[in-house]
Amino acid sequence: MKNFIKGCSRAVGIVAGFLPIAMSFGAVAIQSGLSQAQTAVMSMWVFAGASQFIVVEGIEQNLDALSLILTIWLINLRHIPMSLAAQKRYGRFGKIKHLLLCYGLVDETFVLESSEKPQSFAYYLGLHLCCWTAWVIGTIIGASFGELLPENWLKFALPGLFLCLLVDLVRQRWCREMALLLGIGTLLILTTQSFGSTGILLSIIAIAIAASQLLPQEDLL
Amino acid sequence: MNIWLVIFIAGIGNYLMRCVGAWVNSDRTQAKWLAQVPFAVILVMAIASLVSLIDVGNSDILTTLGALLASIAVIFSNLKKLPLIFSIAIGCVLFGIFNL
Repeated sequence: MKNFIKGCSRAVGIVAGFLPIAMSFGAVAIQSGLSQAQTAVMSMWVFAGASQFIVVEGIEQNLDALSLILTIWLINLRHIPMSLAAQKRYGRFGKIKHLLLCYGLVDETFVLESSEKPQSFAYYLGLHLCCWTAWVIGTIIGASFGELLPENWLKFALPGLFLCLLVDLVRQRWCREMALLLGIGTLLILTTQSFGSTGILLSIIAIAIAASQLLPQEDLL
Repeated sequence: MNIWLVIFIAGIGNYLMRCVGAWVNSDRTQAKWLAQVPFAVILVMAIASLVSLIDVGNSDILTTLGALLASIAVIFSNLKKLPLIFSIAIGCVLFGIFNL
């Protein structure tokens, strides 16, 4: 129980970032014609921010079901290398617990967990459950109250979280090659930004390959 | 179009992609570059989320300035080893002030 609560408290930064985005999604989904039930169930079952927004956009543009599904899958292809990289962390809990944790494997939880030493199953469960709950509750609030809610203040929470984790990681592993890698990586991300989620996937793979060549081998998982 | 079906199938696909690591033999997946995926994801998400934040605000000067100052404040407070939640809160307050 102690580890579960520790995991929940570690999720506070992500929760603060999830709420405004989930509220925006809820509001936009209702405006595009989805019912409250569809909006809430999508957040519960799909649990993937960017692709949920794409579905709403696709519905507004009258895309057919097949195109919508393929687009969502394409956007979330990055989960495959993330899942492979998380294998060491979750694999030691056994198959069923591993499969349960995979449900909460999103960018934010993956990043946070990668930045710390391996923890217990209860810790990861608390972290994932808090993030999922924040996403679902945020969606329901957004779907119910729409644009009445102020969001600006919390919009920086997720970029802030990623920046903190990046600074920690760079500080731990600083070397000349790291400076070069940060420069190349930033350029690559800015260049591929226009390709949307495909660009993000390409950037992740390219930077991981470049890092494996440039940086001293170090186990982060 | 049956939106319930879209949600159901999309969710299954997402979950299967998240589970790949549970089914693939771990000996085959310990490639050198996979150990660097966490670093790559953190870097990509940090830069991409900042860029999209500026885009979402229609790139007006106050949003851009707020995002820049908030980023500097977050980096500085993190270097000073303040707790994670304080660093994020400082960034949010700064960004919020510029976007009132």
